[in-house]
Formats: sequence, structure tokens, C-alpha cells
Amino acid sequence: MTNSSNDQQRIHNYLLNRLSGSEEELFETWILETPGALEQVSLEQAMIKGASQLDKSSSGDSVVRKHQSHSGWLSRISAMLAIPNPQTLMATAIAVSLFAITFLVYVPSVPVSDASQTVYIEQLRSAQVPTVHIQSLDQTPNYQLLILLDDFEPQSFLVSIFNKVDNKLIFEQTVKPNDQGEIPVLVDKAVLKSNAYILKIVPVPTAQPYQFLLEVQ
Amino acid sequence: MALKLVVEHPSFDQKKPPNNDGKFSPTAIVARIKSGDRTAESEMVTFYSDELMFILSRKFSDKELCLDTHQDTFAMVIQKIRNDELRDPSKLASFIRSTAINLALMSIRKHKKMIALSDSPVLENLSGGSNSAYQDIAQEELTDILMTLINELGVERDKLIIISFYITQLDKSQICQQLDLSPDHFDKIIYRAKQRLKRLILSRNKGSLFTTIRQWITGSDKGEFND
Repeated sequence: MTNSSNDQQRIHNYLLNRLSGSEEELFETWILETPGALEQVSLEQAMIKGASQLDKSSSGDSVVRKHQSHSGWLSRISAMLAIPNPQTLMATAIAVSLFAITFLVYVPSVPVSDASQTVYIEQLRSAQVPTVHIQSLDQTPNYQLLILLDDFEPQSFLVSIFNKVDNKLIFEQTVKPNDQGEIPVLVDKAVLKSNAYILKIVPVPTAQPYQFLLEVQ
Repeated sequence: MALKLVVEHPSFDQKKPPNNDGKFSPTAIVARIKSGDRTAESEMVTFYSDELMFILSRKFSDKELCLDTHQDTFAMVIQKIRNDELRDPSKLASFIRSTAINLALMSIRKHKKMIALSDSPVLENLSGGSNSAYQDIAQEELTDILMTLINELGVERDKLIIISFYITQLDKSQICQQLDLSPDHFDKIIYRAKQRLKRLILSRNKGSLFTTIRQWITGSDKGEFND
């Protein structure tokens, strides 16, 4: 048994006491035999326990039951999250799901320091465009963007760079992964002079763009 | 110079190394114990220890019972291996589990007889009772961490998924249908949330992940003293 979707569901069901006696026996034997299984089970247990405490602390009564109407818990959670209108939460969630894509993007800060700047996909989906600072510290002619993909990602990206002020397109390239699953993009430094640019990355199959603000020093 | 955008594929098979050499074979460990290798005994205990304690804690809420059973189980299993009473070494995990449960149940029966003889209301105490002040504080911390986790999720839909799955306990299929999500995507969001939870827990606590979570949860989870 690996930590597959099936495992996650089984862990969840075990912790909610939804397994039969024989299933429970098999599951517990699997926990004993599988290094790493206990960590996954413990994390799921913490999620369930924390959620039940969260629900108790917000409502003062027991855990919200399965199939209960959304309106009650949504109001409570929205209040805790300081979201003014629970319907907005629902509407936003459904709208965002239409453009869902599942990856994390890490953007290491270009060699100014060794520290990495992390940009999660959630930030890319948000209204605020993440900013990436670029500084030329060597004599190579190009900036290199390296995009690493996982198995579930698009076959190619349309990478475009626009001037932030007048929105003029200054670079556009459709790039496919290499043998290592990386998408290397070379941009001439002469094209990216000191200025602010919009870097737009569009996964081709979904056509949902992700944008960065490039500030070139 | 390079700007590196790394699209991370969640590592689904991150597993702690089972032993120093990265390998653990029940058959081999049984053979070594039978041959009198004391190191093999401690390797076996190390490999199964946390997992067995987790299982016992799930089934029995009395901490003393779990601790005693945990210790007695390994002593008995080692003795049975030495005596060549384990017929199928490949089923060592199953053997440990059944030994532990049987020992715990025997202990409960013994306690119940003692309680009946003394006619005292100890039984209620054995089943855990109310949370200690420490547990209350620990559970508040867990709640706080989960709240932080939910707040850190940048996408409202992801918050909704976590809330729907863990608080309202809606089925995965229902959530996927309502939010037009693929099951794979759902799994990734849940997985990612748990990895963030792990980072949050480890950033606040110096102990191991399992120990920290167990401390938060022990005494308030499933498990009654029933036989």
C-alpha cells in the first residue's frame, strides 16, 4: 500500500471508525509494517481532531454532522476567517475551481542571496501578482527561467513578457519540457532592460494564465 | 544567471528510513532474534514501537494500560520468537498487533474482577474521564494551528474543501461534485494542507511529529474499556 488516494481515504475512514473489523485489522497491520504510514495517519488525525475542536469552539456544541446544511457552519467558519459574506466564500470557491491547476511554484531569489522566494500557486491565482526581482550579476547574454513540471502538468507553456507600462509584448515563446521535465526559457538580457515587466505563463491545455511582476535592476 | 521556477510534485512516498541500513525484514529479524542476537530485539522494538503505541491508544483510552501493554507485548513477542512459537515470521506485524490486543483485553478483565471485588467506582476513571488541563491547552494549540493553516490557504476554494471534508465531514465525492474538482486535485489539496500542518506543528514543537500529535490527542479519542 502506498500513500495513494486510496490510502488517504482508508486513513480517513479508519480514524472516523468507518472500517469493518477485518478492514481495521488489515489497516493496523499496514501501519505497523509501513515506514511513514504513522506520520500520514497522525497528520490526518490532527486534521480531524483540530477540525472538531474548531467546530466545537465556534458553535459550543458537538461536531457538525454529516450532510448538515452548509449555511450554519459556513457562517461560523466565515466569521472566524473574517470573511464578511459566507456566500462570497462559496461563490469564490466555485469560480476559482474552474481554473484549478495543481502545482506549487518556487521562485528562488535570483542570486542576490541564497534565500529562496516561495510563491505558491494560490498566490498566483490571487489578485496580487507576485514580484520577482532580477539582477544581472554575470556576463552571460541571457536570463534563464527554468520551470519544472510534475506528471500532472501541461505539456507546454506559453511564456510571454510584456512591458508593464504600455503592455507591449516583448517576448513570447511556447516551450515544451526537456527530458528532465524542465522547461528552460532563455530571454535576452538586452531585451529585459532595467524596468518592470509582466511575466505571463500560460499552461497551454488550460489557458489559465499565471503572472509575475519582473523588476529588472 | 537563472531565474528558477520549480513546479513541485508532492512527494507521496516520503518515508522515514526504517533502520540504519534503510531495510527492515521481519523474516530476517525473527531469524536473528532466534539466534540470540540482542541487537535484533531492540531493532524490532524500535521499528514497531510508535506504531503499536498508536494502535493501542486508539483502542484503549487508559494511558497506563497502553504503556504496560506496550511493554508486555514486546517482552512476550520476543519470548515467543525465542521459543520458536511464531509460525510465519513474515506475519510478525500481525502477530505483534494481536498479542497486544489480547494482553490489553486480559488486563481489562483482570481489572474488572478486582473492581467488582472491591466494589469501588474505579471503572469510570479507567475509561479516561474528562480531559486534563494540559490536554485542554494542547487541544487549544491544535485548534490554533489548524486555524492558522486554514488562514494560510490563499484560495477560498481550498479553505472550503478543508472545512467541508474535516468539519462537516462531507464525502470526497460530494465535495468534488459540488466544486467541480477531480479526485486527483482534491487529494493534492488535502495532501498539501497536511504537509503545511506538519510544518506548522514542527515549527512550534521540538518533539517528533507523532509524539506531539499523540500528546494533543491522547485521552480524548476513541477507546473505551470494553471487552
